[in-house]
Amino acid sequence: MIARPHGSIRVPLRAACRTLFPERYPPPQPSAKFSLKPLVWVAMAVGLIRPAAAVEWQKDIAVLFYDEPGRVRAVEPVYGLKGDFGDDRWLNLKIALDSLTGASPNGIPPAARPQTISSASGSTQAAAHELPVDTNFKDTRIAFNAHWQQPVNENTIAGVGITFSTEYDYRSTGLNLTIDRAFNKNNTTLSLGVATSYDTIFPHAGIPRPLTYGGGTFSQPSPTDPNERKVVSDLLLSLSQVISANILWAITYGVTRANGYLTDPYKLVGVFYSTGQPEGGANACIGQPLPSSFLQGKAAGDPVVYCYEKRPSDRLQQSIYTGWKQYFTGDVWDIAYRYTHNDWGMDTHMIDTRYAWRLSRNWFVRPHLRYYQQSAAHFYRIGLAYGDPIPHDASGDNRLAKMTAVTTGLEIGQREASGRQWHIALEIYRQNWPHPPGAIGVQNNIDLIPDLQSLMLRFGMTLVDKH
Amino acid sequence: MKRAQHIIVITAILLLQACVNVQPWERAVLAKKEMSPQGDSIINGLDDHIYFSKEGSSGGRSFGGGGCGCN
Amino acid sequence: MADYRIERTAYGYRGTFHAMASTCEVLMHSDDDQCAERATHKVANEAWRIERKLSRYRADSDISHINNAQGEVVQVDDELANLLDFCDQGYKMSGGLFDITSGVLRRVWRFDGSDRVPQAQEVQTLLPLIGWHKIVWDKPSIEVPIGMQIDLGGIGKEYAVDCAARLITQEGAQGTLINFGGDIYAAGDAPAGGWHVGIEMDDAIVNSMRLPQGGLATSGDARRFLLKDGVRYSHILNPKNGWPVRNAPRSVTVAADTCLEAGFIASLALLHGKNARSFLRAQKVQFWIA
Repeated sequence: MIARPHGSIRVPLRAACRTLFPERYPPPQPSAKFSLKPLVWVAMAVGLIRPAAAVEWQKDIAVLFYDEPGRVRAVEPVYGLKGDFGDDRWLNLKIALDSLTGASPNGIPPAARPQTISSASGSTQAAAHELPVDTNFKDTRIAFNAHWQQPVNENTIAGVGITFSTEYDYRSTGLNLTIDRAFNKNNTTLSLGVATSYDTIFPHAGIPRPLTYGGGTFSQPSPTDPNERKVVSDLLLSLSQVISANILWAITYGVTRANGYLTDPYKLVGVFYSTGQPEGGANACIGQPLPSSFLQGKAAGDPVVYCYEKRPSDRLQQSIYTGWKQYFTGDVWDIAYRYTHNDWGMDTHMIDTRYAWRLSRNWFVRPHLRYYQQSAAHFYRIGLAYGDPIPHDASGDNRLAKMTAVTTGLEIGQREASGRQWHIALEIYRQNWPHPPGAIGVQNNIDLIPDLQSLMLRFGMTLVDKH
Repeated sequence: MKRAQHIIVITAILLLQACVNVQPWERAVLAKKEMSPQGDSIINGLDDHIYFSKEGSSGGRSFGGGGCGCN
Repeated sequence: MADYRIERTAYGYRGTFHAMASTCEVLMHSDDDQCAERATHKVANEAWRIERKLSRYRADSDISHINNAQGEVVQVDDELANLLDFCDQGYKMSGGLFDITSGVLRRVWRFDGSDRVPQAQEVQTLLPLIGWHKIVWDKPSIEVPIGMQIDLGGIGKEYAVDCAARLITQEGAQGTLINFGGDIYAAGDAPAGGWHVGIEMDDAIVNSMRLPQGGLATSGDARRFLLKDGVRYSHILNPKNGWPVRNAPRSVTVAADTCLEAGFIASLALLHGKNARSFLRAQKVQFWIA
């Protein structure tokens, strides 16, 4: 908006004067500048907002590139729009696209001999000592969030939001409500939030029958159902506190309850030959005796058959999240710790810290370090032992195994006084798994869960549109 | 567990109310965007989504996300 | 200082007081002396309030507070935040010609009618301290680098006129003309034919006009200039090079919907030097050049 030598500044000048003296400048003719106008009209129509003289929009654009060498690759662009309607009334809109391609582990560990695994996703071959993966892993997800908040009285702000996402085989619809109340000259804020989402999953081959051998060949068992559902509800209670003119502290207690189909319909669990088991007895995954040809030449720890995993239909997670944010003449340091406990037997600890170091008036660099560790879910199995009774639940998904993960990253960015900014970050995410308990025979000579290192590149920019 | 948290929270409020008295005009720094308690929601959203699909727990800071078939 | 006078005139009442280094007047087209008293009281208090807030000469003003923060961040209230937003937008739309950081040039330029023109070197050393883009304006926080300062003198009087006009309009006052040293707003019903406003320069009326309603502002260098070797240096300084604008009209008067808008256009017109007239034409406002 740089003026030509004798260009007219009439429009921007009158707009600027209108902000100070709206009564002297009757509103201009509506222009079709924002394609989101209809949405705003809807919000006005239902009485959520009054027509605003000038809405200030902040636009955020970000793209994340995620790469696991030789495995999954993802690109996720996000577009966010934040409208300031004045008087603490805000509209937040966000749309994200998530495009995944590549290969994903299917829950079966590497074995001492080559493996051929047939499942609903097709047939997978893995050489000896190689991790079997689903090679045709491909999905695109679109997610949309909208959130409106406004004061309900002098010290209280209420918000309502909706979430929606859809992908090839999954759909989720959610609603959330928040209420924030300020105390103590606005030095203390207590917030209460509730959210619930209703998700549907519909794998193209239907919902598989878990922990069952399909009979005849090792192909997938017949589907039991075309789709399944789950309901996830959250409750958050949070306290945020101004400690000094430079320090902010917040603590949040959360409960999340997930109920319904929590199993991953594409993940398998293997049955491994184990000596000393009653041959031909009632076997895990199988339900009836196998022909002896299945077991010929097998050593303890060699795969016998594969079946679909099964998880409990209910999960209750509690969490404590606490964050500290401190300003040091231009620099900002923040550190956060999170503890979660769930009734699947997992305890997790996460610690995350960033230091935004101001290099000059506009430039900053921000190193980032994150450490995460979790214990295993009680039904996590590296594999089932041939001949053991069929468990109620079992999963070989390594996301449920005992694990530690470290993220190291560096971000660099530029921030202008107008609020416009951009930043780019490169992060390395390393996951390490210890040798799992329950490994049988030859499995003890194999790296059953290979460590994984992924790379993330994230670019973001913020634009502010002032009228 | 739940009960203990409540006690912690209530005690914290009492303690803080007693000792903190930052006046509104002393909040210039706290009003800066980079000091916003929620942080950058776009970045957080991207990070949370990655960790949600790679780890066995999620959420804590804000609603646990989910709404994704990736975990 | 906190004093005002009211006198009866042919058309109603006239209240006078002193604020912002100017004689200020409130002309009321009304026969109600209590109403006139109340209006003058309100206008004067508003003028003094804004002066206390914006004056760079007062150590306790918000502006001095910001200028004396030694590079630290200062948070400003809503009113000042909106004004700074205006200045931010003004800087951008003028391509940097309207710049509230240019006040440091007064250290070397004193327009007292003398011939003391500064050395080029003196002006040059000040230029790094000028430029609104060097200020970190992160509404509502402002951070002025050490050595720099901001000065709302360029719009403060005009802003005060509009604020005072707003107050008395809310009161439902009769036709009133507010005049703070040449920055004017006419509110309510004017006397038949509008207010008669004359623009004075060197003790002569150079222009006269009828103003029914709205803002009117004049920018010029009537008595503020330097004269050296036959060259007249106007007090309108170009913030980009630190030197007076050459060949600018001596005075520009603009009428607009607010005094602020009129004043902004008038002073920006002077900064356009010999192109002032074409700039004014492009703004599609009523204007007078002397």
